[in-house]
Amino acid sequence: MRNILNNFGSAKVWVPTRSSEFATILRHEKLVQASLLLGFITMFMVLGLDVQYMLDKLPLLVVTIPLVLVISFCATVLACLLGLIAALSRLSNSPIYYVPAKLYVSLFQGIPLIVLLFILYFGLPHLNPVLLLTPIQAGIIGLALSNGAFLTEVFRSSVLSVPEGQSEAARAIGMSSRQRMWRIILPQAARIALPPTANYYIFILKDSALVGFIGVAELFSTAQSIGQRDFKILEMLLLAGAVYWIITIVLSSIQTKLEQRMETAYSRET
Amino acid sequence: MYSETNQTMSKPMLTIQNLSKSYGEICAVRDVSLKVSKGEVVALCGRSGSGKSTLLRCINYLEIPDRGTIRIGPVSVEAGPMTRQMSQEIRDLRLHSGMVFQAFNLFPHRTVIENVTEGLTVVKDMSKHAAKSAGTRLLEKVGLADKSDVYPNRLSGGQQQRVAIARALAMNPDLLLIDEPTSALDPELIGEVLGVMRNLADDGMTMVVVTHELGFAVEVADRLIYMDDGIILEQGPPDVLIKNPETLSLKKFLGAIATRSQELALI
Amino acid sequence: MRIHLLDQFSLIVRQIPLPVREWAIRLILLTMILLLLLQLGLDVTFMMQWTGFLLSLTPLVVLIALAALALALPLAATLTLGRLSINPIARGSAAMFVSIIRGTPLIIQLFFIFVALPQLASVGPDWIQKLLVLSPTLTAILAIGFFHAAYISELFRAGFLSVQPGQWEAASAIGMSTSQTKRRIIWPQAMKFALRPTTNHFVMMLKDTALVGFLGVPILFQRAERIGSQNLNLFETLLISAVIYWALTAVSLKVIDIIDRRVFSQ
Repeated sequence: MRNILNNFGSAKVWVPTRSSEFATILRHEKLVQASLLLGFITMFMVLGLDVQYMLDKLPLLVVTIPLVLVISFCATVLACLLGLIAALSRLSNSPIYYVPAKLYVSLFQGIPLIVLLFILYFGLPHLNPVLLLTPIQAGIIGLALSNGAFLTEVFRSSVLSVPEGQSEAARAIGMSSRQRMWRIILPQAARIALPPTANYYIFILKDSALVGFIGVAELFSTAQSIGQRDFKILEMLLLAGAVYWIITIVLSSIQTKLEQRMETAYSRET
Repeated sequence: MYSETNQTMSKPMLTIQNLSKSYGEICAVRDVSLKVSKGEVVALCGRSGSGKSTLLRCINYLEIPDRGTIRIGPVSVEAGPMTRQMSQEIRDLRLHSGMVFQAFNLFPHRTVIENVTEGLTVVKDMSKHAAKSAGTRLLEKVGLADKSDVYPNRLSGGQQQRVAIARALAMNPDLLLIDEPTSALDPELIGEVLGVMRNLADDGMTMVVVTHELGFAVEVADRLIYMDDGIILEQGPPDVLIKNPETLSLKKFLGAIATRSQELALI
Repeated sequence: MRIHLLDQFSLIVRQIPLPVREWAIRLILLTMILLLLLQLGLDVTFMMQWTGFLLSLTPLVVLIALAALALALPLAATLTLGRLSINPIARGSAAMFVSIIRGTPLIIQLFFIFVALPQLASVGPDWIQKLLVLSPTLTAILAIGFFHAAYISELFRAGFLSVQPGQWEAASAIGMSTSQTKRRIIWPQAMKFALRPTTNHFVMMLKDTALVGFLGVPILFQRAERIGSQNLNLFETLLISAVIYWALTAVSLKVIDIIDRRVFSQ
């Protein structure tokens, strides 16, 4: 059994060289995690946490989950659209296209989401009463604008990751740049971009908690209002946090399974 | 010294006039002029950095020359600022030529037959049915008709390169540009690709091949061109050049190849 | 050779050096946006009045972010070592910690620290109470620091694992057994990989400070909001604060880029 040990100061770090070793450590690790969780819960219970209350209010929070999922999904789709357009513009050689794209990315990567949400929902009507958005509209648009800027970079780098030979082969056949982009480059770039994009759905889901501040009755804001009303803020925060955590874990494992399936689909071809 | 007037020059298929290409300070191709007649097979060789690949890639404007004119068949493009018109001319140039790459560059998200017909359906606007039958015929020619519906990453290197050749041929080019077709292949697969190229030459295809396989050059090529430092140092019938190199550069080049094959022979 | 009008135009335009063209387009774009906003009723004089004040609130934002960064980096390193350790307790705890923090929105963690710690402290003796009741600013630094530490530790871990196994073998082949020499080979390589994404997190920390105001002490964003809603000029003040954040992040990215280039292009 060959372990490669490294000492950073006194900490021994271990890089697994055999999968069987890895499996044993993993089992131990899961055990530790489970016991830590139980430890946390008991600690809080000892300190006077009203667990019964939490269980009572759980259904009220669970009810908001579909809304959260839908808002996140719409925002993700819109963000992908924005990201794609911006990425394609960004990749262009002509300044007329890439300068606005760069500006969009810089602007919306630099403005905090909460500020953007407030501008969209509270600020715009102040400017001009015509510009009225519902909380959900403002929420989705804000999430999409902000995350779209980040997705632009993801898409752009995935397009740049496609081997240049592909572009050359397409050009040698006589394809126009539009044909080349849509038939050869983008399909391959999409495959590369899929894992990080799926990750973004989870990021957006967590970001969506901020939408509660502009009036959407979603998970976080519901928890907050119940907690403030009943003076059980801590309980509701823990509850909401736990729900988010579980959703994240579930979505992540679905994503991992899908990625594994796609991996095997390609490796089967080798 | 090889003179082009010696050759019975049928109307040249490819004419390169005063081609120059630099990358910043480095001059890859210096004022090269060249004529290739129809049906002629030209082997282009030289050390790495001699400009041979750059020259080849300038022919179909994958690299943009700084100066010079390229003519393939009826289409001619002169180096200059890129305009919409020039882009169209370049596309025409590419429709008259086909290229085979060292790294094959097959489209991984398309099957073999789809790779071959991609150009036909997309660029030449052929119907799917017509394209498929044309493609199948080409695959038969390179011996891979049975692998039509397979994805490229299931094929060996030699098979992939043969598909790449079929894909280039699908566009019915006047001229085939082949860039080190066997350099990325395991030795036992080189033969099948060279065999296909020999058949093409026998069928009368005009070819310019950048290659290290001097055996192929001797057997198939009508002319060997040796480049160094961006210019053509020597050109002529392959066997003549290899037996009697005139310049020191070519002598050294051949010497290096000879020692390598000697080393292999000793094993 | 006929040259189309459009081609002629683009040829002329291309003569203008690229940076000039870029700036021209940026200027035109921003002017168009400004005109649009003015059309919709933007109150420019109000903005000019209040910009100075809002700018003066900026240093606090930067300070909070820097403090959070100072907290996050060593914490992230510790977490990474924990994640990669042989000791299952260390692995498990670190993994759980990272999982929870990455699986929950920052706002919840922020409120949690703000609310939970005092409540925990109320059970204990007086001195713990004094210790654990934190000002909103301190809470923010803790929350933001912890939050990004979890993400940065993942980056460190990825950087660490991306160092080729060959390096380890080469090092042990040479006979390096001391921790310090291995630290010299593996850690720098891991860091080179992980540094750029890590610096992005500082920029994120700058933006996360906007959430602090919800704890009761108004920071830049909340001050802007209050001023604006009082004067019915909410859009203008929010716009100013948005631009300030944007400027902060843009400048930070530039600075990071410069440092990146100076330090890492040898």
